[in-house]
Amino acid sequence: MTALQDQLDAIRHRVGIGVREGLALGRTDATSGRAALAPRSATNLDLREAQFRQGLVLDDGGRPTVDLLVGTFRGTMWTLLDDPRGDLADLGTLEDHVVIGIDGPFAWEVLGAWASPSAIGLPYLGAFAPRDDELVIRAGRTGEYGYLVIVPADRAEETLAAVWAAAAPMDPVRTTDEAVARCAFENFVFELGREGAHGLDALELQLTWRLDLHADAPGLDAIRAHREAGLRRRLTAMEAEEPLVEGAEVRAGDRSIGRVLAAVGGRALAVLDLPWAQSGMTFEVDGRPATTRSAPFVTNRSLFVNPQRHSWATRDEIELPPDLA
Amino acid sequence: MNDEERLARRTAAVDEVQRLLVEHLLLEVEPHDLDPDAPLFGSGHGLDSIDAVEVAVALENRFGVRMHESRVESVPHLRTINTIVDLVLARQELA
Repeated sequence: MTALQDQLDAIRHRVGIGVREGLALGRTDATSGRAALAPRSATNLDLREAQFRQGLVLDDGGRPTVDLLVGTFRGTMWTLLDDPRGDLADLGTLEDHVVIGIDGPFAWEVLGAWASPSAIGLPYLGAFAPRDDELVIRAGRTGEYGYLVIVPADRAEETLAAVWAAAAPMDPVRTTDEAVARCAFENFVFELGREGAHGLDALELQLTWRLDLHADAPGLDAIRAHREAGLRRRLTAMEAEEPLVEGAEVRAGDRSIGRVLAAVGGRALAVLDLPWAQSGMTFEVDGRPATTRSAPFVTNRSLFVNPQRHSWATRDEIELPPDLA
Repeated sequence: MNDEERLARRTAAVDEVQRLLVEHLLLEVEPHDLDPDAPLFGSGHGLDSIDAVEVAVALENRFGVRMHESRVESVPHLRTINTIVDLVLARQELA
């Protein structure tokens, strides 16, 4: 297996390709699937054909229990979950298919070379079918250009080889779920098993944008009540010179104002009480200074790559900010 | 400026940018429903490139903050409400 740092470099600068082992896939008839999911979904499911959405299922306290990607394509509803299917098992668990991830600032060019040049223009959270029984969704967690390729398991190796060949000029690296999760962390992309595993509700996790506040689904009454009462704590990005540790207390002078929920080196996601949950403040974690900051942790290279103007071959001509140049 | 004043200033700026976005983009949400660190464009709050122009004009009119024409300089500042606030407060400190 390629070293984690090499995988991260590939996803950040070029392209990484790998089977997304941790994604649970479901496929069912769109009408019955929607009828089954809508009463449980805190996210609006009014979707156009070939449009996907990042959704949530909440418990009665408004805490996420399912983080899913959902969409319909040619009369079929597809669900992709970052964790075991739990109470969505009735939405057609699909075990004879594999999800291949293509991630990185030049992933679009790989997709165009492998599938079709027109695939380069695929909008975010859009989908298309390169071949029968295959689906590509633009839904990257690591930057602007990330694609999930769903293929029958018996064609997975053949597809991986073809995608790899298309990416060959970029020196691709085989990536793991761990590397994708690490890049998701630095891009402030929600992970249920990380910051979502500490009992915070969707408002505290800064996931209000995923909620249909007018819907009637589990957890939304609690969310509406919380909104009415006012937010008291919020997920906040922090940085320190020294490594931060999950569970560490965050202090403002003599007062305990929160704790670290997840950390990678000197970067952390902490839950802080308001009004302290604001960017640009220096507090104490384990007796050492740590500063809150605006998320995400990185300026993603993909923000400056335009498929209409750039290419891997001309990458040196892409104008980048000083911290990426 | 002490920590309390900095917190108050930051909180007020976040509130103001949230209100500004809701008013100028005619968003059908309450200002506080805009998560400060959620992406404004694409996923997240789902704004598009036309909204980006509106946001840039509104920021200039309200705060005197002029967005650079260069994508390299403007894109990092327009990613979230918090990154906009970073820019607004930095420019106010320079003024």
